[in-house]
Amino acid sequence: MDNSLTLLGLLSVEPSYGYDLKHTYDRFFGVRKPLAFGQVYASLARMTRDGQILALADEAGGGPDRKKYEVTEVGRTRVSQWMFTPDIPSDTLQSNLFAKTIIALLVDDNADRLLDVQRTEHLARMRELTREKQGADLMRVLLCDHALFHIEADLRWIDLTAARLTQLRNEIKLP
Amino acid sequence: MTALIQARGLRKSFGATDALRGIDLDIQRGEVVAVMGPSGSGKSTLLHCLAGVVLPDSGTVSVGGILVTALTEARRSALRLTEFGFVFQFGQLLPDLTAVDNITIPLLLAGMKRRQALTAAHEALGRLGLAGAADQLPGELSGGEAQRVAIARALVTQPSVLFADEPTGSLDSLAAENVLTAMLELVREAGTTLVMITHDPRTAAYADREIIVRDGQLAAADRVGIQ
Amino acid sequence: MNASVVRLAVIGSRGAWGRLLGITAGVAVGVTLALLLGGAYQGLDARDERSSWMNASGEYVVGGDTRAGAVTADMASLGEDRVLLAPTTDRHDGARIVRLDLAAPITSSVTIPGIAHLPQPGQYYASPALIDRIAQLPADELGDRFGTLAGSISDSVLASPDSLVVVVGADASALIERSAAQIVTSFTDVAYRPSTNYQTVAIVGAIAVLFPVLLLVSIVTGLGASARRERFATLRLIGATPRTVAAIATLETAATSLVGALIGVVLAALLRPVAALVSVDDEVFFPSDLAVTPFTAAVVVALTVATSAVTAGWRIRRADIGPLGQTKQRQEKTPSPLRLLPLAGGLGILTAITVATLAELPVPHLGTLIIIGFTTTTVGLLMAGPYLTLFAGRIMARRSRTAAGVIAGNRIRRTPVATFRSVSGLVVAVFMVSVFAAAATTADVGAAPGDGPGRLPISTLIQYLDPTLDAVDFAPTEEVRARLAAISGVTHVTTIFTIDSGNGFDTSQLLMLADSANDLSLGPVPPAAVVSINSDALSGATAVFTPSAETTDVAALTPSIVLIGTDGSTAAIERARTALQTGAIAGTGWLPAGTRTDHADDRLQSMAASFATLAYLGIGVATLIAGLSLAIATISAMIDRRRMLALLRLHGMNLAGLRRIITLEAAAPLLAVMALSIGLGFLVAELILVGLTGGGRSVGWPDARYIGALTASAVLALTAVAAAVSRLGKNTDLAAIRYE
Ligand SMILES: Nc1ncnc2c1ncn2[C@@H]1O[C@H](COP(=O)(O)OP(=O)(O)OP(=O)(O)O)[C@@H](O)[C@H]1O
Ligand SMILES: [Mg+2]
Repeated sequence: MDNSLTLLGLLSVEPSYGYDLKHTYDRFFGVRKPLAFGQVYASLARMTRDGQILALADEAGGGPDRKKYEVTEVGRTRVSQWMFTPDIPSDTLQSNLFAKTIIALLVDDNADRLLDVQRTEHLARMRELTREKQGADLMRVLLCDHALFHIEADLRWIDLTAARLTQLRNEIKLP
Repeated sequence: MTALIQARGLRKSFGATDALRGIDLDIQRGEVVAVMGPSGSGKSTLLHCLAGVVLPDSGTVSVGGILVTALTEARRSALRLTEFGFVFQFGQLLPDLTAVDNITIPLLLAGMKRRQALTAAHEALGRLGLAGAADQLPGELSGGEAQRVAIARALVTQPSVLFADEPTGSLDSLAAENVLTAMLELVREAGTTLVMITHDPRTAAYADREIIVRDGQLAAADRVGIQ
Repeated sequence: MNASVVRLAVIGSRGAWGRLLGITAGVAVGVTLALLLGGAYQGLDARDERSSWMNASGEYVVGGDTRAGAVTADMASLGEDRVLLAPTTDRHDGARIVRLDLAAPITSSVTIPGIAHLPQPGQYYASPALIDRIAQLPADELGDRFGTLAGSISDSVLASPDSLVVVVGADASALIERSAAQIVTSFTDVAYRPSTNYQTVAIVGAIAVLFPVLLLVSIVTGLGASARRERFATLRLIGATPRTVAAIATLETAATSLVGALIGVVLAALLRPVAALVSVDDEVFFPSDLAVTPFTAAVVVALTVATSAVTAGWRIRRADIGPLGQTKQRQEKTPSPLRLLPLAGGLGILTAITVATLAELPVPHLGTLIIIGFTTTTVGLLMAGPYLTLFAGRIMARRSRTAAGVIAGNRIRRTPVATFRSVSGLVVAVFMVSVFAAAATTADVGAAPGDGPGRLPISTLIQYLDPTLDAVDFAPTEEVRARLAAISGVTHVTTIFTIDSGNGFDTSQLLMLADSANDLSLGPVPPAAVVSINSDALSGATAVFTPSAETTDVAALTPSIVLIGTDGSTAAIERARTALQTGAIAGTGWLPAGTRTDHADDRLQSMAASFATLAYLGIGVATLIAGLSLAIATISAMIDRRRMLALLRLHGMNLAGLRRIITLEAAAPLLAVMALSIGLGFLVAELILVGLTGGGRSVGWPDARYIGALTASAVLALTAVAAAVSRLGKNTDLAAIRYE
């Protein structure tokens, strides 16, 4: 899961203070492992440097936690690109895909489509593995099957999530 | 090359349910396509429309240049007999007929002599590794064997399209895999187009591509033109 | 067992309601027919019993008896406790009239049931039907025969509302010379003997109708069975024991057939007046004759409910529905050749009876044995059916060249019992038609030939005289002849003579004067004063005149027969008949005047003939029910297999092909068993007839009605199948069936 892209995604929902951003992040993604403040500010600094966000004028003056950040056009494009680029199916995929889905819902983008895109990617990989199985020796076949079953598990999660998108959308409405 | 199956603007509703809500689809000759999507999304309905089993409320289907949606029921029957084969999840064999007799039925319907039909049926069973089960009744076959008999029956007339609705849905992984590879081997060999509904990604992985039906529409990526 | 579970299991779907309705209707029809038949059977008895007084008989009057107390021409000689009775069968327009001439002093204490007083000379009592008839006709055609109407005979002593009965008062002097006159002391304790032959035939007929009814009930209870099995399987899956499921089935059928049976009781009561119009032995019933006692009705209802419920429970238990339902179809047991045994047994019984009667061995309980033999044969036919059907199916499955043939053949061969059940009604009906048609052929043997050149016209009345009586001058006087000849419509009055050859009159020796022979214009008459005419000319043979070998002496001739030629109109014939009876002539005859047809009718009054209407009617009902059963069975089989049939359509079989399958499935068993049942029908008719009549009768070729009945059955079968098949399109609608 790419933390800074997730933060960028959250910022594209609405301008936010670093402090609030961390809490929003924790609410959705940090249930088990909350984000450290340092990490948040480091990311914000990097994104500001890359022109993806910009800090709004100080309101009450003071440290970095009193700055409100807003996403730029460059930032938005980056988020969209991230969302609709399928990941290579792998063990670590799950959380990233989850993040993408949540962000897509939050920014009211097409979450269905991103899941479809991912599904296509998964199936393409499965087809590859299936082709690889043809004529291969049993060891190879079993290895491929192992991979296939894992990807299949992801796919099932994708299907399930796709089927529950509406419900999910209602549940994550930002307060 | 124009597509073998071309569907345009397919709509179909059953009472208040909109089963299909505008589907455009091209399937090439010899292609193996998996149709996926959630339950109740309209997959079976789509398949039925493509095969001329059910007429859409609006939209057209043409197969090999023939406008299926404009044919009479009798002509569509004839088309199904010669050009299409069907395999379903289970329970499609005539319970009173032996495996080999079951396979002769489409041949007899097409006007073949009984003796020739029996020869062809035995051969088809042999190709699916069921030569020993020729004289068994469907009730005496295992699920996988029965599916293979059904596949033999569907392919014995050498149709140009095989429509399959969850052909391995009632089988365990290994049996499903065996049935599937047997079917695909025959299909690829003969250049038959296969349109196969499945919930199982590993089954879909045998296809050249998959299309996803959701709420009576194709998922965006599968829409004609986007590919 | 939870009530809502029962409700769910029984009426879980719309189709289930159809099934319950079907069962109710089937049972209702069955009970209606059973009650009406039972009523008719009792009614025949009641009828015989009521009209038994007409069979009162006593000692014949011996002419010239001079003992004390002998009956003489003097009315007073009868005293108070004896009457003189002369029963004859009169006719009007082909209908038979029971005519009882009666001489009784006014003081007589003898009574006739249903009549207020005994009629005095010149008076008569008549049945209402006869009174009607008399009132509608000119007196000289009918009424004049009897005198003046004194009153009507009460319905309570009449067999039928149609009965034509008349009790005519007469002087002892007029009756005493009649050959039929007898001395009767009572009309009330006449021992009546119901004709056991009649009853045998009646029971056989009832069985003929009841069989298809039972089959119908068994078919309707099988309606929608496959859908129901699925529901029961679901119940088993969620924990119902086989016992619970059987109990539900029993309960369901019991409730349904109770409703059906009660409807049947009501229907039978409503239909009684209609059913009473069926004439048995030429007479219709009083509706009340067909009524059954409440007790009988209750027994019928209870039996119906009990048997159908128990059978239903038993069937379900035997079907052994597992929690997984019947995804794997239960194989029917292949019928074994043992199924031919009951048929052989039934035929054996009938053959044994016939052989025994022909050998003139005494056969106890003949009627019962015949009924047992007949019933066993019928059941045997039904048992043997599936075995033959199996063969037909095997041959078809192997030989067929078309898909429809292969499918139908295999279906038949795997389920011969079920397949045969749908046509069994028709098979029984055809068997019965053949039995009755063959039996009825005897009725036509020797029927009077029609008119033709050289034959005595059927419009000629034949009045036999009794030349042995010498007390009265019975020869028609010129005056009587003139009176007869003057009747409008009478063309000639001719006398046929006989001679006393020395030891009595030879009534078979018929002589005529050449002139009157010429009057008949029946052919060339040899030139002789007296010619002889063949006696069978009177029953319709071509007349042949030969010169008399016996005598040429006109004076030696004694009148024996008077022929009254008419123009053939009913009015003329009846006027002549009336004139004959009002004159002195009638009194001398031992047969009332009648045409050739009338006399032939008397001779041929046979069991089979009088039952022909009932037989054909019964068979008509049976055939209709059988056709209905076939239609229901075909539809129900179609619905049970609609998914299969729809799949065939999907695979490219057209509707015509499906129709062919269904039609073949009905036709094959029909054809396989039909020839057998026709042949058996004739054989059984022959055996029964020979058995009942001790070899007196045997069957001949059936008439056009039989061919008609067979054709009707065939048409009905076709219609039934066609009706079922016409729903095929809807039932296998590709859009309505889901294929997955
Ligand atoms: N014959 C019919 N009558 C009424 N409704 C129907 C009929 N056929 C389909 N439907 C409805 O149309 C919708 C689509 O059905 P369809 O069978 O095509 O779905 P599916 O994608 O095949 O589902 P599954 O994966 O569960 O088989 C469903 O809501 C179904 O209830
Ligand atoms: Mg489906």
